[in-house]
Formats: sequence, structure tokens, C-alpha cells
Amino acid sequence: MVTLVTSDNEKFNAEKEVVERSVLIKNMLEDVGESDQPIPLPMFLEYCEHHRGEPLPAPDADTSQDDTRKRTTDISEWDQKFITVDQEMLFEIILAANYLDIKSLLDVGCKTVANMIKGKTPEEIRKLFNIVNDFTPRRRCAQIKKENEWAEDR
Amino acid sequence: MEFEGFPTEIMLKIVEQLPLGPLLIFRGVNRQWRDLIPMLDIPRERRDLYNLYMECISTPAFIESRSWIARFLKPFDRQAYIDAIYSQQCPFIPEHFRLFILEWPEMAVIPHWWPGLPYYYSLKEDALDGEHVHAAGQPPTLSAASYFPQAEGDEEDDCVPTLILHVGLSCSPLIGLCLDKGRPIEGRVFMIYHGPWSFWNPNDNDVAEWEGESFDDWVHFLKDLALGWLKNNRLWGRAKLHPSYQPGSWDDMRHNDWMLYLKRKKARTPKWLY
Repeated sequence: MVTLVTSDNEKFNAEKEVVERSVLIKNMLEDVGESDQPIPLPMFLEYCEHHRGEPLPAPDADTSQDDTRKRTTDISEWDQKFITVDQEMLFEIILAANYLDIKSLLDVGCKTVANMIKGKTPEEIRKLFNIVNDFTPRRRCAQIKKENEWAEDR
Repeated sequence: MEFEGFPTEIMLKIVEQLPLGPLLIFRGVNRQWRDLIPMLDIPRERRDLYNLYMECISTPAFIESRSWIARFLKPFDRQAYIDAIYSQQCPFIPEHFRLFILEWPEMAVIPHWWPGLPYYYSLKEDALDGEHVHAAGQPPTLSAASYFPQAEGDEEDDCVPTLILHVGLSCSPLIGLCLDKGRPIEGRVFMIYHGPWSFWNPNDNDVAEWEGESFDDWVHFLKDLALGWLKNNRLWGRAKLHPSYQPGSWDDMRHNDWMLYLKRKKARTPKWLY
């Protein structure tokens, strides 16, 4: 067992095997060895518990080959439910998954956000991700708009 | 708390999940992100379609033809079209074509090559030698074409599943997409001017010379041939049925080849002539 501590000092106990889905925590555990020193964490235990026993992806597995046929909607029902949270929480989960290095959770998060982008205009996408419109000058904006014209749905 | 944006690595992972349409829209979001698109780890076929779109929008004839497209374009169910190919006992669709049907932006279609355009139409003047043609229609029509793998030694000719893409009224030229998996001609597009409904080994130049042309894949075909036709045929007329066309005759004949092919295949007769 390991003890995990959130940033607001809540403590959780979890099995080592379960939390090792996070490469970050796995590495940390290896660093601290067998001591019972607590490890800090945000919310992710539920996710790892559910996926207990599934094989961990190889560190540099080449996933690009069979990706084409996987559509962005390919998210398991449980994951879908897990990730159905408000936008702020979704973005938090993605950042945490990235920090904790949990590839499968990061994938689910990114697919969910990709689904949110579909059907949005550039302006809406900028707002969603807090991205600055850096197309200048005005003429350049018009050019981009023209190039995108035939890509938009009627 | 204001969201400060994702780090680049996460943003890239998100954008890599986008289908072609939203990916193209994403170009217009931010210059910094747009410059990262060439570095994305996306499937080769989607990348090829992305590049084809870029080529299209820099082709004046493409832009000119948009008003014609806007006038005649009809909505159609993309997934149902793909399913209709699979449902004819066809196990394989080349990825370039599959992604094109599922993801290509409808306002960016190239005349002829879209099931959402009228099945028959005529060009105003004497374009295409006055031939009135139909192409890439609905429902998708499968056929079986003979295949001559001459460069591979003494193999007898065989038949391959083919999606009919274009039929001239006098049956010429014929254009077909090879649906056979695992052959040198997998995913190639063949254009046949004369002779029987047969494919050849693309490396065999002698045969290719008298029978027609072939293209590496669907995107090469659109880029090299379809865009070329567009450049040469700038006058766009009304969509109408050619009065001399008898619906069904040629399609049915070719489709019968397919039914026969399936029947023989079931009877475990791998090589056959028709």
C-alpha cells in the first residue's frame, strides 16, 4: 500500500499496483523505494481503480498506424461517463493526466476536447482554449478566412 | 480562475484527434498553431487530403466552380455510403477513399467525384468530347475487373473487386477504384479508354500505354486528373439527364460481374474467366 496526499492535505490509501498506471507515480515510488512516505496527488484514483488489471501501454508504443480507423468517438462508456464533467474540471483532468503521465486518461481527455472542437468556428475555438488571434494585419485575417471558407459546413 | 491554455504538447495531442474538416477550420485559429500543423502526427491519408485541400483552394478553376457546387449539392449520408460498400460483401475500402467520403468538406467537393452531386449532369459546351457522363453515384456500384499481373510471372489472370467511379455513355472511359487488399494494385485508380474491363500491372508500361492510365491512389487521382479536368472545363451548365441515356443497362451488366465473382468465390474457384 502507498499513501497519497492531495494538495489540500487529504490522505488516500491505495494499492501500489493500481496507482502505477501513472508513470510519474511509478517513478516516484521507485525513487523512494519501499518506505511508506506519502506521495502527493490530485484526483485520479477512481480512474485507475476502474482500469485495474488492464495492460499498461509500452512507453514508446507506436500508436499512429491503426489510429485512422479509430474515430474520436471511440471512448468506452465508463470513460465517457467519467469524463462528463464541466469544462474546467475536464481541463484540470487533462493537465493532471499529463503531469502524472497516464497515457490512457490523457487520450480520453484529448478525444473529448477534440469532439468539443467539431462544428465550432475559429472564434469559438479561440475562446474555448483562451488562444490569442495572432493573425495580423487585417489583410492576413481576410486571407485565412477565405482559405477556410470551403471547409465550413453549410 | 482564468484558464491559461494548454501546453503545446497537449494542444497537439488534441488537434491530432480532429477529422479533416475541423482540422482545416483549426488553421484559422492562430498563426502559431497553424504553423504546427505540418508537424502533427496524423495518418498519412488525412495528411494527403489536407494537402489536396490546400492545392484546391489555390486553383482558380476550383474557386470558380463553387457556385455550381452550391447550386447542385445535395446532402447524403456519408457513413451509409461507406456501409453500402461494405454491405455488398466487400471487405476492404482503401483508406484514402474512405476518409475522403467520411471527412472531405462538402463545399470543397470536386465536380464529378462526389456522391452528393447529381448522378448525371452535362457540361455546357463540348467539354469531355461531348460525352455525358455519370460518376461516383449512389448507391455505390461494385464490379469485378479482370487483372493481368504480367510482371509477376506465369499467374493466370484473375478478377479483383472494383468500385465503379465513372462511366461514359459509350462505356468509355471507365474509371474504377481497386478494392482488393494486399495486391500491388490495392487502392489504385484505373482509367480505361478502350478494351475490356481489365486492370494491368502498373509497372508494365507496354500494357498501360494502350489500355489507359492508372493513379497511385484516390488522392493522386483527384489531384492529377480531377483538378486537371476542372481547369479545362470552366463552363458549367445545368444538371440534366442526357436524353439518350438508358438507366441501368451498363451498370447492371458490370454489377452482374460482381455477383458472379462472389458466387464463384463462394464455390472456391479462385481463378476464372468471364
